[in-house]
Amino acid sequence: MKDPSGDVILEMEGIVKTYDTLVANDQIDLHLRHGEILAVIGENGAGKTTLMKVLYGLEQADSGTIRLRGEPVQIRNTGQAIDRGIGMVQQHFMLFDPFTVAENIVYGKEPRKGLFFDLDQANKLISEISRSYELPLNPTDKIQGMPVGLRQRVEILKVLYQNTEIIIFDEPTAVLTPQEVHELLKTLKKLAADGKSIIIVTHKLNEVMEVADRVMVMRAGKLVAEMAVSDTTIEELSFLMVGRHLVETEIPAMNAAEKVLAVQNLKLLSEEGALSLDDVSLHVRAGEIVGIAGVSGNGQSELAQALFGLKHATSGQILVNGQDVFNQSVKTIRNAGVAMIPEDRYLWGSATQATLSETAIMGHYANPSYSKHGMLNIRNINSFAQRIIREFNVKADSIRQKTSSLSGGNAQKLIVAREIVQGTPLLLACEPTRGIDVGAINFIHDQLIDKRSKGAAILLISSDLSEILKLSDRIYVIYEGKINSEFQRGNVTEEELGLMMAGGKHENQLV
Amino acid sequence: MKTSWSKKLGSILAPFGQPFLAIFLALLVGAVAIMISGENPFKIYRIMFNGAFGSEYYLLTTLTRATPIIVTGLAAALCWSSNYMGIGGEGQMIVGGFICAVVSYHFPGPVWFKLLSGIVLAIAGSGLYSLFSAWLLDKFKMSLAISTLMLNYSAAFITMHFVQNVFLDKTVDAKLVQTHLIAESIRLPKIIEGQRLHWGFIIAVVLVILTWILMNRTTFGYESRMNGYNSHFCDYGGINSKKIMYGMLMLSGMVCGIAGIIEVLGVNFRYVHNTYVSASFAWIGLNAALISGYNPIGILITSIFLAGISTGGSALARSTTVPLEISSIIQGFITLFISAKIVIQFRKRQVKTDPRPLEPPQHSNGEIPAEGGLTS
Amino acid sequence: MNFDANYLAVVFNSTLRMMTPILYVSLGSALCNRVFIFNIGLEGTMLTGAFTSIVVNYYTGSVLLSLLGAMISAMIVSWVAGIFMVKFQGAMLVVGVSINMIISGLTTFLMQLIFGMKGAYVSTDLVALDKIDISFLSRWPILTTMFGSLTYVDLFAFVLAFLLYLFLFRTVTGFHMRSVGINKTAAKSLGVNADRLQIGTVAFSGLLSGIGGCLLTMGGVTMFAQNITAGRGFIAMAAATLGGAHPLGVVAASAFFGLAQSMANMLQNSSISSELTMALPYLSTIFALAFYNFVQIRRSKPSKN
Repeated sequence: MKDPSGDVILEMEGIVKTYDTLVANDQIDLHLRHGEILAVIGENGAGKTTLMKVLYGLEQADSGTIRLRGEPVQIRNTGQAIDRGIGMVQQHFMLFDPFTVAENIVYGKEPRKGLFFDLDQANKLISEISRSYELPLNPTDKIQGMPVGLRQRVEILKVLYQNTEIIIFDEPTAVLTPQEVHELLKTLKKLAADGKSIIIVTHKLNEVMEVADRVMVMRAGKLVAEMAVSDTTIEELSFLMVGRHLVETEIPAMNAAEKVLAVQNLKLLSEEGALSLDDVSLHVRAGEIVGIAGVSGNGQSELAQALFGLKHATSGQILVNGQDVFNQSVKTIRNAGVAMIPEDRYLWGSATQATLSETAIMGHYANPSYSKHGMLNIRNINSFAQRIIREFNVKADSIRQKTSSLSGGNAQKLIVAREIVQGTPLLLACEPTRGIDVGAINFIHDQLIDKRSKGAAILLISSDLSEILKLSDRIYVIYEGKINSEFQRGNVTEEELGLMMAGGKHENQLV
Repeated sequence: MKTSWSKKLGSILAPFGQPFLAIFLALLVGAVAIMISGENPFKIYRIMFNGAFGSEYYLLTTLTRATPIIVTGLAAALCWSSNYMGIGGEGQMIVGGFICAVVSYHFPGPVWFKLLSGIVLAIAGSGLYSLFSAWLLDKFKMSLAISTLMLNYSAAFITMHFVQNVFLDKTVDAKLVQTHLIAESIRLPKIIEGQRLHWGFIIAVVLVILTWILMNRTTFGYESRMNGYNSHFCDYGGINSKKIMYGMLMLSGMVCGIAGIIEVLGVNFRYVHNTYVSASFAWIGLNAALISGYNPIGILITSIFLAGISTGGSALARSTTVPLEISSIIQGFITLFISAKIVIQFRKRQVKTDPRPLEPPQHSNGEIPAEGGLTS
Repeated sequence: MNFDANYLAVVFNSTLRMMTPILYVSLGSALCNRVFIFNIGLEGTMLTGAFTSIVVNYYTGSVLLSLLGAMISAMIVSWVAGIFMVKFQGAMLVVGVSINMIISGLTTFLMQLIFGMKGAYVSTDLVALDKIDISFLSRWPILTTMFGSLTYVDLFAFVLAFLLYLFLFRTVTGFHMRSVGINKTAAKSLGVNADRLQIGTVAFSGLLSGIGGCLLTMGGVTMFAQNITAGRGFIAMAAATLGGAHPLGVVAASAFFGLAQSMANMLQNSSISSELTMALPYLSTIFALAFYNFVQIRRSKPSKN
């Protein structure tokens, strides 16, 4: 699309960044031309975000050089990056909820009148910019209560207000609805056409194909390929990214038996008064893995938390093996035979200061072999912790070390082990493999399949579509808090699911 | 091999490194203060050491002084380690001591009955009093720090009112606000005849062991410690955090009450207004808990050390011009230096970490400021 | 005791004089709350100011230097506390508790070195803060009672509250301060030096508490006593919460605590036990906070359902 010989505006050469023993960036080179869209792709943990943090001054590289328009520069903090015309729309929005749109956008470069902050001027400026880039926003609206798409628009306008020439987008579509994604991609193209140079960090290949001019593929901290998008295909990129062909796992057929989990008309109003869950009805049978597919933020977290008693639902019915557990305490629900792999291993799943044995018994320390009459049986607890560490290949020196000393994958394996070995008839597996290495992912997948083979029911909630497709016997699609379709294994393709996740309709669906 | 050795040594020493570094720095600051008062720090520290541990008499005096510090330190460790940072030890100790002194003098019946009722009611009273701040936190989201502080002052003045106007012992010096002396038969016996150290110290040591068992060997202790680390983790594990809040705050109030009882039965034999406040028992106890990282056995040792600084300070006042408040300066600085995360950060660098998807809650000290300030 | 106009005027005047030391400290506390700092060390820094002002007063006899000394010494102590809280990531409560302990000991320690005594130091050589001349009000005795024996420092507290309101809500630095309290990570990533802002705020809050301390020792009776602040720093923190960490709201909250304190003093001459009246400011703090939080919780609930 663009003139390939356009001026190179940014060069990063030989960037190395290590965290302790982990090499996040190993001799990475990056070149960005004026007015082009460069996609940086790779799996979670490939080092994309680290590279961008180095460029934006959030992290310092161990070695390597950065040149802007041929001039070598040092970027020690974000202030310096912004001054040099580098802006970043981060994955986690950097917004102040109680402040207005205009206050958020002008932050750091406020118009002043004498000693004071000139808010009127700010509102005027933002109206102008918003009009000229066709990104409509009301400058006096508060951020609080805004949908994600609009929040991202505020972030984009902030970068534009800062007069940046290079704009980094870090996983910009992860939390967007398909319509919002469409809008965003249009915006990106327009910005590039206006002469901005754009870097988009993503692992969604169809977006890369649609919007980017060039693509850089990273894997395990290394740059593995760099090419024009017109010279490649999704299949090739996918292969380069993963470094292997996806192996089809053989999943033994199971005859699904009685319903272990039955949910009827579950409704949940969020604190802001929005319907997070809208009439959700679903069931999981023994010997069945049921996947919940959906774009993050469509009610998956709320569903898991309501099922597990962490959040109070507004109305509906939840039966576990016939027992009514609607709005019961976590303890009651655990006792009813439910275990859960939480979506965030550090927020919910562990305490970083706790030892491995302490983490290993959470949720079932009341089991008579670990405690009697309120007294802990330390010997049994320790041998249990030793056992699951051995059986689940958790790389650890001692059960007395702190959970924080484990790598993400090992911490996740410990949590998965804890929840699986309880042998409960129902397991809620929420994002069981998010952000961990491939080896650990495969191990956890095998464990889930093994649990299913033993006749347990598993509800798998994941935003990773390939995980859903690989493991699930049946798939529900959740969209804006509603279950909008249901499929049997093999009856649906990734593309079709993607359509449903965007709120579409399909002919093969069961409901 | 060499690196793994030094790493191992580092990880063994690291938990102790910071306390020793903090004590060293605090003594350094103290030395400056001593020089300001025109004395030689080495000489003064020697006098302090001798005055604290130099003879059997001084050592036993230090242990006597350490007793309430140990007990209030255990109380602080119980609630702070479960994420409920109350600083109401002083008020709880006052309530316990006051009730014990009044009941075991004024209650009718045989002496053993007076004593028993005194102890039971004092423990119950200080526990309930501490529950009040738990209730304020639960129902009104009131900052535990503020409510317990205000209750400290309230307890001091309200008990003073009752002592002055109802239970005053007018037989002795009218200027002292104090209750009547309790019967000699119910006083705690001395461990060694003719010395000050009484059986209260043994009680404190027993409490150290019981607290250690509670914290490390019971499910309630496990639940509370996990709550101190990460309350979301506990919610997810099915632990009722309200049970921990009420339970631990009541328990720590009761333990502080015991500290008051020990002082009444073992040292003063009556309740004397302002003695616990001026000796800062509960505050030094809190310091002991913080310095030793809530470890009961650490608290035992640290309390004796801190009490030694106090008795050493008193020795100074007897023989030199250096005011005894040098002890609270040193004690305060130790805790200040303990609070800094310098050594811990140095240590973390050796540990492999991975980027966290979500930051842990920003405030771990129980204060949850909302928009427009601290509404909790 | 009859509640005539004159009596009310006396209560009003006493409330004013009681509230201003608290007001200075709670303005400082409000600023700290705005940058997400729970600064319990204000009790200690207030005591620092109270002590330094009397020491400088003793040596120089200059009101201005005393005030300046109070401000600077309290600011330095608070700055150190800020460094420990922000740079060394010390738990705020722990840092505050140790600061209070150190200052309580240090002031008594130095008191003995300088004045050779413990307890309370009173001397006729000490000068008091200048009183505002209100002879122009002499035609109205009630007004004279209401605004009598106030110092310029008392008056400035109210001006300062308004200035801080402008600063916090109308200037860019104030805007950045508020943003740090809302989302420090975001503020940092947008190039604002959040650490420096927090430490600066803690130091400044110490300076304000120093003025409050000076007012305590040189406002009415000119004297220093061991731990003369007696929890006023803590009460001021409660006042900051009660005032919604808004400088103007803080004025109202401080007035409430000033009233409680002045009632406590007034009631000492009544039949009620003086020990009970001394507990009044602390108990009223608990009840006021409970009531305030109760209303806040009630108000936030309907919007959620």
